[in-house]
Amino acid sequence: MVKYALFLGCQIPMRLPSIEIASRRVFNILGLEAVDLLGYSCCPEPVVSRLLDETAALAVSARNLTLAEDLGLDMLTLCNGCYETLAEANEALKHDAERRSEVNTILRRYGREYAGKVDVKHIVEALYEDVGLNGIRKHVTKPLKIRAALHYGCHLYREYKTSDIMRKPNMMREIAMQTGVDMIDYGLERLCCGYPSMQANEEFSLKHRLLPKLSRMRSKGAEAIITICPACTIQFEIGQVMLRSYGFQFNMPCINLMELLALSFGVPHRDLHLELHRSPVQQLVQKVLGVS
Amino acid sequence: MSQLNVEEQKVLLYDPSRCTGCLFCEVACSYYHFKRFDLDKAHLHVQFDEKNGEFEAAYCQHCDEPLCVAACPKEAIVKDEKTGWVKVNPMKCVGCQTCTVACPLSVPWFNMDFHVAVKCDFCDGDPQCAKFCSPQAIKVATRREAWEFNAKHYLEVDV
Ligand code: SF4
Ligand code: SF4
Ligand code: SF4
Ligand code: SF4
Repeated sequence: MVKYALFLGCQIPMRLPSIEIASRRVFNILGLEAVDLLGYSCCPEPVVSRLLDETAALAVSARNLTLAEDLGLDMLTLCNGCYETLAEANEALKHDAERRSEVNTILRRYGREYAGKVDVKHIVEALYEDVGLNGIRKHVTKPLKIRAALHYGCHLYREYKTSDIMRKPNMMREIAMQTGVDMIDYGLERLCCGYPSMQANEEFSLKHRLLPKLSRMRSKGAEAIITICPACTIQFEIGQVMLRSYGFQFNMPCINLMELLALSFGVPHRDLHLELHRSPVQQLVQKVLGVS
Repeated sequence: MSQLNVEEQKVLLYDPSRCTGCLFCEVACSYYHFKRFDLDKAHLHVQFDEKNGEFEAAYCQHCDEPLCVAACPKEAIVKDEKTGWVKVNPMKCVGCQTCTVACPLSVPWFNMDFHVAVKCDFCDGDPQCAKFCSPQAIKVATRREAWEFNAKHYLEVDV
């Protein structure tokens, strides 16, 4: 059995618990053992925290990595942001002896030290490489007839060993295809959802990032958006509500890849608590599965 | 300075086919220089053409023969012979704004807070924009690589 230290991050348990519920069900079905990483903190957030204090950000990441190192396990992330933060920190700590010793000086004050033995994996890598498409497909008992548009999310393009930025996005796409969805190509897949520019300029983010994506998805006939990253999910769900004050009406369900998998594996939708979403995911699922 | 060394100088290189329009590059640039998350204070700008779905970026090329340097009446902009980076000396700048129109890419801009022109300074060797660009759409490359890429991309010729 493949075993990982599960790094849930902040957004999923706090704001999108239905993703955590679905992930745990999917892990069980696929035989992926995810050990809870007790005592973890924020990853921390990949851009602002590093800009504010790079060493402090690195120390926080390193501390999280030591928790996985204690368990002797590689780390599994469900969020694109957590992935980039932890993978980026791991690269720096593994390959830059000076940085590692600087960070370990800080960690030793708290009785910890990072030896650089952990690898960080994104969930799509674990699903694609450890389980495989066949391994996923054989559990699909309820193919989902949904016309869906994919959104990969910026941090999913981060690579360290190759320059092929589509490596993980293609994995995500192929995994999603196993659930039976009818994938709509809308041409703006790579465009950012606008989450990162929300703080700097809300109107720009909503009108010039989120809106073009939603408009194109809708005009191509998509009835749902599939995401993997919780931050993108928040932007799609809350952003649609905020766009109403600018005169744009959208109400597209935004479902996470893990929820999609769980549903296609036949997990009852009630168990997944899709009503926790801020977009009509529950309604979509009831319509598609013909249940109430 | 030999031709070889110039070719090996480090510059920025932007590949629109990798860009997502996240603007982390702009956020990082503005915070690094002004401690503000203000897209208007970034030294580079990424544009997204919503109609055609295409990206483009305006960023300093640290030109071989910089027009901003040539246009400055106060010799306030200097190109470092060794690194090739083109920087504004705020102590010499009188704020005439000639450089802001002389640069074909309008890279230098007039900073209303300090009343001087400001521009990309290559972050003194550690470009923050490249550091925070997940798909490495903007990255550090040699001048040679940049020439080759840009000639192919914009002129559709090989150099
Ligand atoms: S950080 Fe990179 S991907 Fe994002 S807008 Fe800038 S150049 Fe494009
Ligand atoms: S500011 Fe403009 S002219 Fe000056 S070096 Fe940069 S790109 Fe060239
Ligand atoms: S604004 Fe300053 S740097 Fe620019 S041309 Fe005038 S004096 Fe030179
Ligand atoms: S190299 Fe530095 S100053 Fe120049 S655009 Fe990038 S972040 Fe801004």
